[in-house]
Amino acid sequence: MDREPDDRGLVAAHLSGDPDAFGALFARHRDRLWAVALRTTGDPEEAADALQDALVAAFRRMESYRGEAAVTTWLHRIVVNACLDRMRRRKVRLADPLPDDLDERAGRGSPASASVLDPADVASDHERRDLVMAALATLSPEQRAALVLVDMEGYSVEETAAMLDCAPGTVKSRCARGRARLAPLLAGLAPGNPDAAPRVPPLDAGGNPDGEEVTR
Amino acid sequence: MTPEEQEAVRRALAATPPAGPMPPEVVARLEATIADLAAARSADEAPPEPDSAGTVSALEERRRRRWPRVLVAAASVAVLAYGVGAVLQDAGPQAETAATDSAGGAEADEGRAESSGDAATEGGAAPGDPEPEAQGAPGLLAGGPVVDLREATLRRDVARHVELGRTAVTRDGLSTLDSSKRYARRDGTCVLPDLRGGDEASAARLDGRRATLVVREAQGGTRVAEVYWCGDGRTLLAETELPARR
Repeated sequence: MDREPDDRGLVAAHLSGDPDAFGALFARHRDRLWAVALRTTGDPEEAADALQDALVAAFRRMESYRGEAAVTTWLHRIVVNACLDRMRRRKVRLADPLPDDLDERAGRGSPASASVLDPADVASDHERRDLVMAALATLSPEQRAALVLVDMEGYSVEETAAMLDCAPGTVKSRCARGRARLAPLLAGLAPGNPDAAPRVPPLDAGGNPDGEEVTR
Repeated sequence: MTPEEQEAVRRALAATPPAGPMPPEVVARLEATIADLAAARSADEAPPEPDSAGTVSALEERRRRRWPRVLVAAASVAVLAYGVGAVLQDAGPQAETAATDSAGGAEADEGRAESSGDAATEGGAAPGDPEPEAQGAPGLLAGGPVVDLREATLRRDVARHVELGRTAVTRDGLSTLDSSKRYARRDGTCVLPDLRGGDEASAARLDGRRATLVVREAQGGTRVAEVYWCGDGRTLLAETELPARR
């Protein structure tokens, strides 16, 4: 019985001219790549566009894969870069600034305040997902990508550093700063307290007031 | 922020419901892109033969003969631009605002088509890919018709196509350009040839081969129609001329 080639085998097959190898590699990882793209961009159409950009890049430059990291890490890196590229361009295009009272509004949802949602308001997974996406939209693209990969997709700091092409310390820093910003917005969403969530105002992913702190 | 608070956020993010599988329409779109890339690569490995039936040589020769006419046309455009500029100056601030808005639109399109960042570094646009001229350039309709052309009857095929007005596409289609200057079409993607204002482009097939038909702006009573290879948007596969219609 034929064994399915592993990822590196598919890369080799693609480079040797197999017209089906890249499609097989994509099919194998597409749902995870979709999750990363969707959560990083926060928009299905933008995610699809970014994935298309990434696929074109990966297909054409497969020979630049040197085998130092896992193929899936390399693919994630290209997808995340395509997402960040699109988010940065969108940020430039967006004319609407973030609301001035962002912190004030976020504070309204903090555990210290009485302004929490009625449990019925966050009954569905869909709504919880929307709350998280709206909160993530308040972060810089880089912080957001780090948190999506580490906290939501479960990659290690080292794997994420390889995907984002930065030092592990930078990933830790981005995660810590991102979590600090999300804390008041997501208070109450932690497991064990699924219903007591603050209302996060819907935001464009256009801005981020935080500077980038690089730790190596 | 305390470690406990960090952990609480981390748990909240980890507990977010999964994004779910890729939607079927996105799968279909991306599979079509991959199929197109694979087809283009196969075609790359067997690029158009330069001298099959002397076609490309003949085209180059005709292009050289056309140069004097292009220079005359360019001079006409310069004179026209000077005239428009003078009119705008006379029209005052309102016209200036309109001109600025128009330039802004062009910048936005260029920004979209621009290939920047690591994704492109990893292998986005191939060096030397044509840069679409956003200002005044027509677009292509992503879901629009794909014109069937045959080299043997090219003039008649293009004339019929122009007669039907199918090249009158909107510049909104430029939004379908991705960072590699490819435009989406119902049968995949192609590299967009260079376009100038007044040119009209359509997705096409020449003897079954995916291509882009560009009908150039009328000059001297004629319109030149060029068919470019889909794979690079530069290789001229066929060319003909039509009388310009009023």
